[in-house]
Amino acid sequence: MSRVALAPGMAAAALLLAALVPAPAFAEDPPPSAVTDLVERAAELDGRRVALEGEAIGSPMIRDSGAWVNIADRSGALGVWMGAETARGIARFGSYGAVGDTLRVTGVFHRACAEHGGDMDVHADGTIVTAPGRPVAHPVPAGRVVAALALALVAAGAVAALAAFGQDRGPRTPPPGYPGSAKSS
Amino acid sequence: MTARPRLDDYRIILAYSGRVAIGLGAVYAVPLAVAALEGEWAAFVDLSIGCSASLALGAALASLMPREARPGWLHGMVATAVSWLLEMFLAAIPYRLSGHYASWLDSLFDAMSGFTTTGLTLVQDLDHLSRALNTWRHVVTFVGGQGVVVLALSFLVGGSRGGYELYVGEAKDERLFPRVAHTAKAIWKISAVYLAVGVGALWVAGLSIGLPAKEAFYHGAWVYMAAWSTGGFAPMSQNVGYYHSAVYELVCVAFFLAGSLNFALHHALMTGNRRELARNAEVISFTVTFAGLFTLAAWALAGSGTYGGIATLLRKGFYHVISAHTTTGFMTVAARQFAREWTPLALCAMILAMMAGGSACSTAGGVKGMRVAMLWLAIRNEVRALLLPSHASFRRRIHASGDRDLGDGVVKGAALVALLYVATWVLATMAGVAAGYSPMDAAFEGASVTGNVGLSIGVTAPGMPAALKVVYLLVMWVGRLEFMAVLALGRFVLSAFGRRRP
Repeated sequence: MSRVALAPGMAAAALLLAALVPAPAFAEDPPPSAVTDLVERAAELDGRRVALEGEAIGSPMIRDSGAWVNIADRSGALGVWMGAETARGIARFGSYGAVGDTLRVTGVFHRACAEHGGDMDVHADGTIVTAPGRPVAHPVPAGRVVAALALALVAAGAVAALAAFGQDRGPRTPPPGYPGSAKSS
Repeated sequence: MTARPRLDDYRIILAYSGRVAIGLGAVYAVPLAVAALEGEWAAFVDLSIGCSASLALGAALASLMPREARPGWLHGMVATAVSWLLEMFLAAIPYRLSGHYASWLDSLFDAMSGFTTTGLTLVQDLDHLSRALNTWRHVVTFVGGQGVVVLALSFLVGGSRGGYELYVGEAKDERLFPRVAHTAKAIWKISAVYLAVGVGALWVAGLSIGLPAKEAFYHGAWVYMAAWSTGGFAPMSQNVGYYHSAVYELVCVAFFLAGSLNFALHHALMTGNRRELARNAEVISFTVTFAGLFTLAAWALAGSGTYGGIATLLRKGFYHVISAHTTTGFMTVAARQFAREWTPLALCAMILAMMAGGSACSTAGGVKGMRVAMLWLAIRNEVRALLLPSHASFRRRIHASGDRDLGDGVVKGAALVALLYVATWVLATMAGVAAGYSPMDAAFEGASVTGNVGLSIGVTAPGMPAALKVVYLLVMWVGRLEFMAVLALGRFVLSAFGRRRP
């Protein structure tokens, strides 16, 4: 069962809460592992409790008995199986327009989860937001806009010129004597 | 020595390459529409630069066509090889401008990987890519699967001579209709039918696994394009493993399996000739080699104990062996899991599957089921001839959308291409070993690159040596064009430095 379920928009409050009121069980939690470490040490860590810290990416996928949330750190991404309510409580997921909430997940690591078709995953029993996500703006550089417009004009001119003067210039006869042309082959 | 090319020869080749570039410029309309729809204006500007560059350069080159000229075999072949290189540069422009690639080389690598339907990627922070650029990556793969020249043949080159040479240069030699332009259009019609069905099926599958409606649609369209093209790109860094769904994986299998079949077989089935499915040599060849290699991989994995239950073993084993054999490259495991969790014997089965590949005249790569069948039948015929009295004779034929003679010339051609594939794989493997990777890792990645597969054992990454990126890029190009067009380009370049014709 998930330790913390977050309501949308409550990420900052949860962050503060997590900082001020540490849950006693967290003292026993292992330090966060990178996704790469989990992959490289899969046989050793199979069935053991691990911690994972990373950004929630994509979308939560709510299923009948729980939800999938994919978490990415700098080394890779991994699926985390958690309660549906916990997943619904994650305010922001990483995408083009946003950096997702950073989650710290603790749970049991499976090298090839029998319950989930052999996927490598973590079954979470604790999830907290350690940093809220944020929207990301993608400003358009003015110089690039000017370059794009100029190039568009050049392209329009070139295509118009080809349409006006080049349409009837399709190939008709082979160059004499060249290998592969009708005359030489 | 081959005669030195004249100015008109260069003009014909560049003019055809220009027409193909115009086709690419038109294709840019798809991601541009997505960018406008989603309000991704930074991506819109980047894509519009790529689009304008394609149209401007394409029109300039197309205008070079001599008035009194007609291309021959060599022009068609060389134009195809040049077109693929030109398309790579033009498609890479928005990649580089997006900031998701560390260098121009990485951008070019991904463009070539897309066009050749390989699916290996050097993109960084894929999970934050714009929808427009993700669309462009998958459209590039989709166009590459049908063939960039097929695209131009369908809409731009069709009426003129030289179309067949361009078509064959792109490693497609089936004629569904007498006119090659009609054949090219038929290929696009077949793909369009599957596009509608595939996107719909994956959209529903996406909804059923909990994706929001809009996400399910985009993911459905992207994954369909990668599946049908046996491309292997995916919108998220975990590839198909992102979805955590057997249903989604099965729908993917249906479409990448279909994409790996010969377009002539699709045409036969769509025109009511369902018996062809059971008689076709390529289908039989694929079924036999897949069954053998899957059994081998499953046996090896069962021995390793990686996958405890039979259900998980079959799901992981089946998915990856069929992904390898169809040269799709979709994965539901992390790349390093192959190295860490799969046994050497299972990896050998995967390497053989990647090298064998899908059908001829399909979106798949590899040696191809047709050649595997031809070589098997040739061996069988030779053994049979040895056992029969010397004066006995028998028919040497193969059935694939009609009976074909299996003469010495045909067998020699198939053996030559198979030999070239193996030689290229050895070269790619040696390059990997020289770059410091283990022989097994290098052999696995080498097979993936040579067969245009896209499965990775962890070698392909932005941090890999630049020289290895260049080798892999060239191997993808050579493998996709099945050597002929590239050899023709080599001959053309050499002849350019030869003696001038009297």
